[in-house]
Amino acid sequence: MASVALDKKNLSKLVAAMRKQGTVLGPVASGNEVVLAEITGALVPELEFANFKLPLKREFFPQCEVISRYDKNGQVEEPVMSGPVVLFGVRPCDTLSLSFLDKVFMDEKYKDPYYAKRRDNALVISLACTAPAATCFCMSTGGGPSSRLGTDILAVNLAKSILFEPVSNKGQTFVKKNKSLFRNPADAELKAQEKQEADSRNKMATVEVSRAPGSLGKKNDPAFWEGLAETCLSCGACTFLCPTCHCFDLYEEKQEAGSARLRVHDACMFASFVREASGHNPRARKGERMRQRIMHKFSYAPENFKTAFCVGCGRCVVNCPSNIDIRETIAMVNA
Amino acid sequence: MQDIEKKMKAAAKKLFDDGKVDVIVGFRKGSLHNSSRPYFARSAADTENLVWDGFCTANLATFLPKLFEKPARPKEGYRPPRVGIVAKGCDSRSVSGLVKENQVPRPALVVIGMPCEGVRNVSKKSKGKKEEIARACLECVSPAVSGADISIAGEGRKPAKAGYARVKAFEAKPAQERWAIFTKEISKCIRCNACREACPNCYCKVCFADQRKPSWLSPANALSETMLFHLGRMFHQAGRCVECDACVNACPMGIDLRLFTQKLASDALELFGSVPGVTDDRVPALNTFKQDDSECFITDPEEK
Amino acid sequence: MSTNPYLPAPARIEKIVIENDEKDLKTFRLAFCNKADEAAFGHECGQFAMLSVAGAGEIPIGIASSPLDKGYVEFTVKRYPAGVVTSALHDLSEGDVVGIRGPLGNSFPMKDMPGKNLVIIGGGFAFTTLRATIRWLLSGAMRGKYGNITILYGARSPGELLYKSELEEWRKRSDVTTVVTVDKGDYAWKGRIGLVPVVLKDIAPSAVDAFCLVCGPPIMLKFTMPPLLELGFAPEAIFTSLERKMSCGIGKCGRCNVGSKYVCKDGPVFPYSKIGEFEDRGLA
Repeated sequence: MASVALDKKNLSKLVAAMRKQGTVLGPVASGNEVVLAEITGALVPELEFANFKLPLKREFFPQCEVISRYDKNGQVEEPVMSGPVVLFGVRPCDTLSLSFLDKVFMDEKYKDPYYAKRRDNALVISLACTAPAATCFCMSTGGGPSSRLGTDILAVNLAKSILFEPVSNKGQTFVKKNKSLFRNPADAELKAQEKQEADSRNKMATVEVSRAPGSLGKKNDPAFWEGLAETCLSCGACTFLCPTCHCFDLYEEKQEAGSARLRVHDACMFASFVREASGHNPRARKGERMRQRIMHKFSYAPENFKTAFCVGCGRCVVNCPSNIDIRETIAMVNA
Repeated sequence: MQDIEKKMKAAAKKLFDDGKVDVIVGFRKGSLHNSSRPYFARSAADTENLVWDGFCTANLATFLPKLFEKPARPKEGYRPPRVGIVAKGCDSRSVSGLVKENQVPRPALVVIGMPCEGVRNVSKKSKGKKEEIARACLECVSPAVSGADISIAGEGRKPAKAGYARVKAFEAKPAQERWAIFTKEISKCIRCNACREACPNCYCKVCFADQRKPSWLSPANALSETMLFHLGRMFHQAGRCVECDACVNACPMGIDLRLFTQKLASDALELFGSVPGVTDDRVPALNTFKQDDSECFITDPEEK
Repeated sequence: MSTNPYLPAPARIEKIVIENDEKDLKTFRLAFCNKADEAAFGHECGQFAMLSVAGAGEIPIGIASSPLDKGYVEFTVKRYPAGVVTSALHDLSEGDVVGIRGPLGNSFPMKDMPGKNLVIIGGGFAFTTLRATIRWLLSGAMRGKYGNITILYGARSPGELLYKSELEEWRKRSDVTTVVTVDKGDYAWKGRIGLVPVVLKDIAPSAVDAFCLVCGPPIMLKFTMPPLLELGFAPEAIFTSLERKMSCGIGKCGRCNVGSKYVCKDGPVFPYSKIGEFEDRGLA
């Protein structure tokens, strides 16, 4: 859909308009980091930053969420969920992850009402990437620094203005509703957008993710996986920071007035993930758990959802305490 | 530094050539700019990949309990693997603790003692500039490796004086302020368990946090659960923690866990005269009792 | 009625039957508290449901009653000392309320077998969904739709046999061949003694125009497959039911997969040809 332009001096007016739509979450400076937090008062969103440490999935699939409650009368109740929200300044790799998670949580047969309602309530305005990190490889995972997948509006930060390109009907509705804030983009601005996108793409490294499903089909050697997982701590940092990892547990918590069922993030990397009450553990070895993680992302997901479950954001690479690098893993698998 | 690396590699290779080890736990070049990472060398040829530089941050002792874990059904004539470890001062303090707690059979371990100058700040941490020596190293009271089987010659750091100024300053704050700081730090936690898995002392087969019959806390990162997790883990470290900062470096959220670990170390020194891994305690301080142990925590909790 | 796939429907425990001497296997007969939930349940043979005990949690249990049994649903549950939910469930009494979420998973493909002969093999307490299937097959409406039916059921000892009274009923019928065996007899046992794979070779049911449903502990399956294949059953004609630890039961939490298949959603029933594939890739 056709882009519109906002002069940067009007950014605070745009924030005010977003606030009419819902709670505004955007890039906020905190210490020497930029985090996704509520834009309150006269705060203006940061526009120059790499990416948030935490993945976007947490806004739709929180680390801890009450699924249901059970009280003394034996009634099963559904709790109230959060309201309308505008997510501004999220990166295209993170919105790409939403398009993958939609396939898991909003399938035909068992639509997840908690995820679905948050998705419905959210207007996503992503910000195109201009400075990919050395660990980024989104172009190898079906995304890109200006990918329009999973977002409602793609924003592009230029020198004196920001372009807004509606991608979905929801995005178009927002732009139309606030058209007094915007103007048509100048040719020079559109050219600047093109150049920015090309520059970012050129900076990006590639990883042969597309070859992985085929290669993994032949990788049955337990010794390969044990060797790869030797220095793995089975901690779960990679899983919890990954935009597409969606494993969870349903935990029943006794409370004063009955009990609550919580959905909490879980990780296949944890030793106890599939341990049964009998004591049997189908994935007792680290190598088996590493294989499960890699196969799930690069073989099972392509088989079940036609896409690898990786957005090339590099969070797992940067945060693994043992520096086990998924880019190297894919190269070794493909070798 | 390169000279030290050469000597270490030669020593490692010799251990394999002489058939003295099955695996050596050390470091190899990392995949990120200015990084090194844990590595298991399993042959003389593998020792070519070993490195020694200012980025050898991880506490390698964390891999030892697993390596020495006896199989559920040991075969006839089972013997533990012979493991070598490229150890800094902090690694060797952890090794000492693990030996005392029967997690590592000392005769099966070969400690290659390195002259540590201190490591650089871990690249993903946002506090501190990349090229500076890490805070834990600046404050390290025991950089020299004690009880090494092979000592690699070289100039290491001088020990810092034990001083817990930051802990004292924190303790001097009013309770409400301390609570606010604690809450703010702990709220960053996402319950990924990286701190626990990176810690050499956390080797329990089922962590108290993961027990379900009974269940002490839930996996949720609700504030009460998260606080209970960290307080519980810290209490289990009392008298054992060697202030290596493995937990601090592993934490993806940059939580100031060092404030807690230093509190543990400060208390161990003051109340029991113990520096875990350094003072020659036969058992960890909280596993034994002496007649003159301070009882102030019962009689007068506000007083030291 | 909610379309939320995470919400259990409340059900009252009508009857508890202790199935074995150890007293750690109980069959719970449950009746939905709400008629609408009962009407919507309608399961097929082989499916499972998530049973929840408030304050304890949820567990996946095979449905042991036939789809044609009206007014109740039955589950046979083993108590594990380390199991939070199985322990809590076994501590409940008749009249207590639990939750049922389901039916979940796929079913034995009975619709693909009209007029065929059936060989049904069960071991230990993995006999639950097979019992549901047998009850369904032997009901007046269904019996005529299938050919010869052979049941082979084995347990470690006579005290461990499930559904003892029903086994007796089936043995008395002339339209089904029922063979019950135990690994080890006792002073009162007058029946067969022998491991299931051995007895299978002995009774040698014909594989002509036949399908096989087999459920049992992994060790039993391992030794039962070769004689089945030798008798001429094609891997595509043998169906088994897998088990894995589960949380959501609806293919979202990522826990119960064997390879790219979720046991809760793509299973729990799989043809042996698929199991062979899992085993080849070291996944089973």
